Amino acid sequence: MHDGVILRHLTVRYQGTATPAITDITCDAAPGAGLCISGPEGSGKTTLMRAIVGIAPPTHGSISVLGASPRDPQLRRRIGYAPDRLPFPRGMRVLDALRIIGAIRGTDASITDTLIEVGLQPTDRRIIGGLETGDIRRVSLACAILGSPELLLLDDPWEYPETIDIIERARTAGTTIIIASPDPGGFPELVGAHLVLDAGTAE
Amino acid sequence: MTTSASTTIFRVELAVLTRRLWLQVATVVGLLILGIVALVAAGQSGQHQIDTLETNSASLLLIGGMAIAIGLGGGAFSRDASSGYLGLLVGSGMTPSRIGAIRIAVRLVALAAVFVIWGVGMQLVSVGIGRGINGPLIVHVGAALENAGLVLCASASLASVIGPITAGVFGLFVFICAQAVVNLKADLDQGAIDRSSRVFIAPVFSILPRAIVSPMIAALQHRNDAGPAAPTININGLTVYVPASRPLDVAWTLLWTLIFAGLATYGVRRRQL
Repeated sequence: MHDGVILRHLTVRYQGTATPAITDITCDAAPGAGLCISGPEGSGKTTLMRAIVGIAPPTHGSISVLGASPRDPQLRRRIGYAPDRLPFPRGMRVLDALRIIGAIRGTDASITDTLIEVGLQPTDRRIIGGLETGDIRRVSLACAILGSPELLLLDDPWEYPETIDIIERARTAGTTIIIASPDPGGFPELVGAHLVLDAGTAE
Repeated sequence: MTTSASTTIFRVELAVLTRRLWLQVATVVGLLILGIVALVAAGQSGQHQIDTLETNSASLLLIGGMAIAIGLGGGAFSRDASSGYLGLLVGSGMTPSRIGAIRIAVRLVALAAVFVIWGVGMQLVSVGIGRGINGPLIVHVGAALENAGLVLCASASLASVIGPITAGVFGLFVFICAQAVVNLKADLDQGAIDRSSRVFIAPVFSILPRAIVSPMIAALQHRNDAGPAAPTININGLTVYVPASRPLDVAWTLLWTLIFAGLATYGVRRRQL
């Protein structure tokens, strides 16, 4: 059994910037439970998510994710990450986006089942560049949950009924869930813990 | 990470690239230009007819091919890194260097596909005007593809750390340098410039990448009909003919292309995703 996510005195400063994006963050997210991170735009929520998934290396402090370093590609395959915007090239099809994520994670989970689970058509061949914002959120969520990862990182998800169902089921299955949202709504109660960021520091 | 993940990303990204409007337009415009060449050549005869086809085909491959190579190489990373796509791939378990290698390979394949399409078009024109398959033109398409591949990889090597326009300019600069060292070597070998210049020219020719000159371009130069792809060099009243590249030149430039591709891959590891 792993220890979920453990952050100790985490500071991240991007190259070429004078001030850190987040400073001295210490928090935990246990398996089967989670953490909701909230705060205004630019408070460091996305940076914290990026640090946990290993694409924003810490300047100071430590991160333990599922008992390993997030710099380990093997570990990252056990993480489902939904960025705050869908970052796929505009000319990519929805199905292809999920195929790529599934292939990298090495999962043989059903893409069609996953699309249905988030409220999309099972054979969605639409071009991502033509999607409405709501559907973009759903595709992002589908990419994150594909293959039932052990850690779910959802950056600014929308509170669709499907999203709530997915989070509840993931918690029951022992998945660690971290949600970042400027407007947390009912997410803190759903995942059990709440961290408020302001200007890169914990309040 | 499995080979199948790399194959999936390669296949999907190639499909995405082929949906880019600018690439589709550039490919079609090239074919339209070949259509015009066919009409012009159809009204000619003899060597002049062959020269019209070969000169204009070489110009298309040089100018159009370079433009596509710069577009593909210069835009290899910046937009998708800024959008978070490359970060998502890394966050899902890919290594940055593998992503870099796949994206370079996808772009090289797309570039080769455009050259093949144009090359087939050129051969259709040749057959259409009653000249049959043009062997020297086939070889020249290969030579032009190697030059364009060098430009693509040189552009991509900087595209991993700076913006696409500057990266594209760098790729073009690399090709200009590669052509310059080949021209200078020809100038020296044919006595157009003083032999004391050898101390400067020999080292740069030995080190820098060399533009690949096909036997077709060398022959067109001798007929004074090479167009923009290989203009006649006239120094101090002496006409210099750039000889066709040797196998060593081809291998040397391929090595440089690989070096630039390696630098691009390394750059992706270093950049913020």
